[in-house]
Amino acid sequence: MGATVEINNLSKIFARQDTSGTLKALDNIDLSVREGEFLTLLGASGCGKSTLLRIIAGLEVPTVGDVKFNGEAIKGTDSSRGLVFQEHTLFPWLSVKGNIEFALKSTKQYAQKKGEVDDWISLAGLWEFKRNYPHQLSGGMRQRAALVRALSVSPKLLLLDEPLGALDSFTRMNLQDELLRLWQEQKNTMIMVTHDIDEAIYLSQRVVVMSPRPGRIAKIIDIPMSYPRNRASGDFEVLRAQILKLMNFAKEVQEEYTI
Amino acid sequence: MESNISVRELKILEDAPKTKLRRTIDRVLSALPFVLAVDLILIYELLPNFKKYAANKIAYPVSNIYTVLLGAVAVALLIYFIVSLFSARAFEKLLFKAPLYCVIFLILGAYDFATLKTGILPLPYFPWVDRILMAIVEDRVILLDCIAHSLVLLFAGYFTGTIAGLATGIGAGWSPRVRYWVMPLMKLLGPIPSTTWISIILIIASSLFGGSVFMIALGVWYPVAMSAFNGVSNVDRSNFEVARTFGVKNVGLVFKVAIPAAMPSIFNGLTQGMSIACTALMVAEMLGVESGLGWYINWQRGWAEFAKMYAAVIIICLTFTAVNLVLTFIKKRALRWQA
Ligand SMILES: Nc1ncnc2c1ncn2[C@@H]1O[C@H](COP(=O)(O)OP(=O)(O)OP(=O)(O)O)[C@@H](O)[C@H]1O
Ligand SMILES: [Mg+2]
Repeated sequence: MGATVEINNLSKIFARQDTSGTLKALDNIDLSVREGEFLTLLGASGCGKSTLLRIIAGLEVPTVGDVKFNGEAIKGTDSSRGLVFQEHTLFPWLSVKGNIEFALKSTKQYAQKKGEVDDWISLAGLWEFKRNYPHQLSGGMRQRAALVRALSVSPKLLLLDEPLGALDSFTRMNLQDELLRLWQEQKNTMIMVTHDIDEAIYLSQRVVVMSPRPGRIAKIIDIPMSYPRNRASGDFEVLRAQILKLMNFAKEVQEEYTI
Repeated sequence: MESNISVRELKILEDAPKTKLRRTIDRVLSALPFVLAVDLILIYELLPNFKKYAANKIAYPVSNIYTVLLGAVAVALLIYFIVSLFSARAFEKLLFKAPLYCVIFLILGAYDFATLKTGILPLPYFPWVDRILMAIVEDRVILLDCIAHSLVLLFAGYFTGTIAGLATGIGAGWSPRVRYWVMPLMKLLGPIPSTTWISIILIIASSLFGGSVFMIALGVWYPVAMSAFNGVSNVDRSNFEVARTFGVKNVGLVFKVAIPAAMPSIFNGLTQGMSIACTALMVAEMLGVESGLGWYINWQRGWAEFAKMYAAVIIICLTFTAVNLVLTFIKKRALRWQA
């Protein structure tokens, strides 16, 4: 049960707090995400990745252009579009378990899925901490809890903003595999922001490379490899080099702008 | 990971070790409250009373209520001390409290000496402790009745004020339109101490009880409304955004996010409101309502019964302390999640 996302001619301009001017965060984005696709967004800091996710989630409105979800214009948030925030935002007044239950209750799935709560906690490796409150957890633990909280309600579209950023490489690889497994199981659509080129190649079917100031799509790269992928394979190597070059180029463009 | 070292062992591991002398002193200190409590009994029972009091047992009666009370305290302290010989935790707690207990007993002893034993501090202004206790026992039925009346009035006012305060404060914090109308009201009424209204209420209120409830509620309303307002308007926006991605909307956002997130601030208002409510209660009872502990004090003042007035003060202190303990307990439970 996936979902499609159509982004047409999208631009987002923010009012700046410091000056009375405005700032163009996204410029003329065109992108269509296929049903059940795993897509990653790569790009330098500040190129508008989070903004794009927030617009798709319905937390932010486009300045120009439109975004369609399953063919319908997006109006506000909906539980069929989940978002794992860049800052792991657990509710501080709820325990790990309470946070997951909050998500299930709010999406009216609690009665049917309450038996799964413990499984999600185990998946996040937080079994011993299920009754702990967020302030008692490490940054990485909070991130994992926020990730499984979003996964537990199985949204048709899951937006992930650097969900594995705060984790050590071992835990990270583990959770990458779990993400893949869940995606293959639930057949939902995934759009994930990452700063890690390997992660993008390992997980996604397409990588969207963005360039900053203003945020634009520099190039969309297909990853034609079958799952599970081998990080040491030749194809992987070639793609890594290609994306690295692209991102360097994107950076140069940015520097030319700033000079 | 769960560590198998207990909190107690952790403290021993991390603290500097105590010297032998220090440990001996600590042990003696922990026994001292018991020793002083026994001394107090001995002074009270064995030291001869002031001649004038001893000569007239009818006008200046003494009982053994004080002895019984002190005896109970002494037994409790002895048990505590014995337990502390075996439980390191109990020992630490007892040691922490010991100096305080000792000073209290010394003050009680000095007071007894200055009143009952020597008459340096004269009657009727300075009744000795046993005399106050006798007053409590003698008037126990009426005092219990007064406690009940006071508590009913206190909580009727407190809950009314709390509900009104939460409604206006949360409403104003959440909705700009409610804020527009409520804020001027809060700014206007807020700085006026609610007891200011007592004379007006005494005249126009059709029932004194209702009027007093209103006055107490008004006093509670302001701090609760203010704290709920601040709490709700300062909730981190990201909490709402997360809830919205799970499909929570409007009223759901208020009850599932705004209120729980604002709880720490709300509890500050509830605590403040309670102390205002207690003040307002006393004013109401002393000036109008013909029942309750405040009224009792006033009534006894008319008879110059100082022992009974002090008795009521002690009862008031105990009652309000108990109420605040309950409130603190609820607060601690509700705010467990805080760092
Ligand atoms: N609410 C806002 N108000 C004003 N400017 C904003 C707002 N949100 C984002 N911006 C600006 O938009 C630009 C893009 O921000 P965004 O958070 O989308 O970047 P990002 O690609 O996610 O960066 P990072 O990789 O560091 O997370 C930045 O220049 C930022 O300052
Ligand atoms: Mg970001």
